[in-house]
Amino acid sequence: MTEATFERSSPTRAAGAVCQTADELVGQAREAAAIFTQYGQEETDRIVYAAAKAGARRRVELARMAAEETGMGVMEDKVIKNLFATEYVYDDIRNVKTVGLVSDCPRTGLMEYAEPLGVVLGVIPVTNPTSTAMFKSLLSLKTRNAIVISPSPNAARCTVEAARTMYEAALSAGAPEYCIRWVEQPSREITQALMKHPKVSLILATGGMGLVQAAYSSGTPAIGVGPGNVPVYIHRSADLKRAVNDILMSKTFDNGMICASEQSLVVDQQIEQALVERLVSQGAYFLAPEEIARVAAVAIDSERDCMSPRVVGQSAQRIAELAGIRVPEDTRVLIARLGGVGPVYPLSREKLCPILGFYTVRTVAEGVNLSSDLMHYGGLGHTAAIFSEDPHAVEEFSETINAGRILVNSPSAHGAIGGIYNRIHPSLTLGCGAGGKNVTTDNVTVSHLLNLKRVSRRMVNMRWFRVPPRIYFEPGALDEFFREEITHFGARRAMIVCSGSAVRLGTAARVEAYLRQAGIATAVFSDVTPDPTIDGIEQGARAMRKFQPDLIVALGGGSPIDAAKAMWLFYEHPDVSFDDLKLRFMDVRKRVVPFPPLGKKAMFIAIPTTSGTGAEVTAFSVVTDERTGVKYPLADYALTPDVAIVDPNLTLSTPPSVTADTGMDVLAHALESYVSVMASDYTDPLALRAIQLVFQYLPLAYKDGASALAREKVHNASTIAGMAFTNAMLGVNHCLAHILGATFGIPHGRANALVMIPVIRFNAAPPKKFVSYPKYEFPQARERYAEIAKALGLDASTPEKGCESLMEAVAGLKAKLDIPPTIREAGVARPDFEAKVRHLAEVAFDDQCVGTNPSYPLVDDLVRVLWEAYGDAP
Amino acid sequence: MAVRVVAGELQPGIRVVALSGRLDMECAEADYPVVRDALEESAAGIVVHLGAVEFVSSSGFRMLLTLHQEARAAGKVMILTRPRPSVYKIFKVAALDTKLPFCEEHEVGPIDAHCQLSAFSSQLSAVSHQPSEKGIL
Repeated sequence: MTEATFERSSPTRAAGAVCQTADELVGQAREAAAIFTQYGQEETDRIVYAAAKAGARRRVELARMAAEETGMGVMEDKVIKNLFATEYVYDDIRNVKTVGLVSDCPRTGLMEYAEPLGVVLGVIPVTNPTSTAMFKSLLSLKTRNAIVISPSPNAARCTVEAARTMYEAALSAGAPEYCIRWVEQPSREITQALMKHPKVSLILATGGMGLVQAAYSSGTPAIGVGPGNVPVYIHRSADLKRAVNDILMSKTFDNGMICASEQSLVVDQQIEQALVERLVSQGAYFLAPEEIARVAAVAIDSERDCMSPRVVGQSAQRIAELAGIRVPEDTRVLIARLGGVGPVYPLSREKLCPILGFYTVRTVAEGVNLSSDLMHYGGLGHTAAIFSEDPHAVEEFSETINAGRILVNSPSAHGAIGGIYNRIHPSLTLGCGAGGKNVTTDNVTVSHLLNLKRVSRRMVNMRWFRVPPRIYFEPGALDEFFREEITHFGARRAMIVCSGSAVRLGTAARVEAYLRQAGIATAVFSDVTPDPTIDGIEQGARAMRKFQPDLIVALGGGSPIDAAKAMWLFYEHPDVSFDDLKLRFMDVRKRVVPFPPLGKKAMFIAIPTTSGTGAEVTAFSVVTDERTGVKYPLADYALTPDVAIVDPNLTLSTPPSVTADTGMDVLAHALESYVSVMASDYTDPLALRAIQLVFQYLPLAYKDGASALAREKVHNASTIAGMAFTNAMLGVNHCLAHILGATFGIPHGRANALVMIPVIRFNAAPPKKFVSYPKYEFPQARERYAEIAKALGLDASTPEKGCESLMEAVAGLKAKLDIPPTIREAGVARPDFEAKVRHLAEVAFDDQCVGTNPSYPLVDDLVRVLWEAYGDAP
Repeated sequence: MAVRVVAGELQPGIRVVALSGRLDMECAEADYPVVRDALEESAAGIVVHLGAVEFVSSSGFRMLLTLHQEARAAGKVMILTRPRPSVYKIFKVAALDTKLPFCEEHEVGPIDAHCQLSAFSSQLSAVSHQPSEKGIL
């Protein structure tokens, strides 16, 4: 078909007839490959079945042809090889899906589609000229590839006949015309032209190192399998009868022409004599030193530093004859005792004939090292074998030896090709990994001749809603809990962690008294400072290690509860590193440094005395690095308290300014969790309710701290906002507040209030950068803010109006709480702010809370937000 | 499945042929003369609709390439409408898409509609579809 002649790059065009042949073969095969893509699994399997059957039927005839043409090997063994290449290989691949959708996993959302590669070039060795041709043809048919068979010049006739056998059978079963092509008159030039042909998709090269390297150098993807130099380590624990049987059977099979056959025996000194006797009794002939030299002279081409083709596949008698030595008639293998490995000992290299090297070793280590030397002398990555009943010896050998296949108590030739002595894929192309400059250590099979297309459905990870298992609330809950409930917890030693104010106000003493009444020994750690530091945490953890509490009671505002959580962590796990645990993460489940579980030594009760952080229900603990002034949130659900006691009576004495600041922190938590990319149906109602409670009751709690109702509602708001954000997380508001507060000494809640309006404006604008979170399918912060406005009864007639209403409402709330509208009015001088604003933005950008903000901010965005919050132009 | 060949005259000088089913050896041999006749009887060439073709063998390839060569030799055009993706892909894999001129079906109009050519109007002036004298429909 002249029209189907394929264009090729010009450099090889000059090769004239050779290139023309290559063009024609590849062109035909390519057309066949194209047509093959239309075949279904059933049609394909029918073709493979027909080809395998035809090959198996002609096993004897093809074996005879191979033996006669090559003058190598044993015809009867080649029959077995042919049968292996068809029967075993077919059995292994017959039920493998190779067409279309081959897997569909609902768990991972991944579908895999198998697609053929196109044209495969099968380079066939003289050593296995028919079996390898049939093997590669079968794999190609099963994968709907077309194959061009390139025989060895010394085995062309039998290889072509094997290929023709497969092709005709395939064709009669409906395969596309030209799905198997072959080179009628092989030569190095045509093989190279085919290797470099731009329309060849893959080379399956089996042969000598030169040929394999040519395949790899061609620029075409290649799976090339070169020589081996198989050591067999025979440990003192080996079953010698079986070992000798296996070795001789394998090494004499087809006169040793399988590249995975045994090359040298590495024998434990303790069993040497018995092994030698057994070997000799079974037909092994140990060469005398002068005979070794003569055999080496005929077996190894010292000039080319390789095995001589004269001995390949020849019998022991024939080799002896060539070497001019006499051996007993029943000699099956020649064994040469060698003093080392390398060019000085020519027979230490690969010999595809019945010659074995022989070494004795004293220890397992010596045996493994010598085997390693042999592998590195021309056989790296291929195959090794060990005979041993001692699993430790097998383990040491296997861990050390660089071989794609390590056969245990098995004949290496029959073991390596798989399927007979083990469950390795039956194959006549054995990958040798990086050691053999191959891409795989696998036994090559259909999976290597397919492009697997992975179709991935969008997946949403399972999410969670995690809060303390027990939350007690209502005025007076503290007293009632300790009177009625604490005895059920089985605690014996409790440590109360609190600030000095809890001691001064008598709350700590009250709790201590209840605990003692319940028969629980107590200790109080009251040295917690605002914004707890790493050093302070370590002091508390030391106190805990000394007291050994089985109950920790955290009493106070955010700082004591945060501090107590961190102390709990370092008390239970003194070896963990703060630097490791503070490491920022994208997904709490996939963090590099896993958080250790807590609760093995002590359970944790949190009792908030301010309405702000929500720490009594959250998975966070904010710790300040006193060296840098930077606040780091430790975040893991392990830090969630076991019990929260939300008693608004404890907040009655909170000063107005603290009430205002902490109340704005509650609002920030609720707003941020509502617009977070992780917001869910479980967190939304909590966040909305908290926002409503803050707007409704915080001004009253600020104005009239004695209002029980206002205190109760704001205290509840704090806890339910905590429940929302511990699951939906926070955003840029808190990122900025963390560093703003730390830099200018602004209380945390107030810092949140100062940036709140600019942050809403930033989030509500169309995002410049999107956040990658599967469940957050499109930007929606503006609409979410409008939902909040609507829930507050504000004008939310449009999303824009809703956002504006909300910002106005926040401004109004701040005014009612006497919170400065801007950072400037909070007392930060412009030069100071200007000098630090960029640094603030950069630190905020790296805050853990950035990842769940609805708009992924650039540092410049944060600078602009900060300037707006400052209330001045930059 | 037997190949259905539909031939009609899309405009003066341009004949329309629609192929369907499996374009394998058996069908290609049987239907090549019909398509060739359409080409020969046309003054300017043929549009071959491949939308209903389900399978193409090497014989199918050959038939199309031969017809294309014959059209060129006679100074006529032969345009193929792109077949379904699974079939079009094999023209791509075999690199025949560079040797055979393909167009979208809407560019020449559906086979059963009396439509006008658009993309190839420079070569094929637009007139209404009329059945051929042979009535191979």
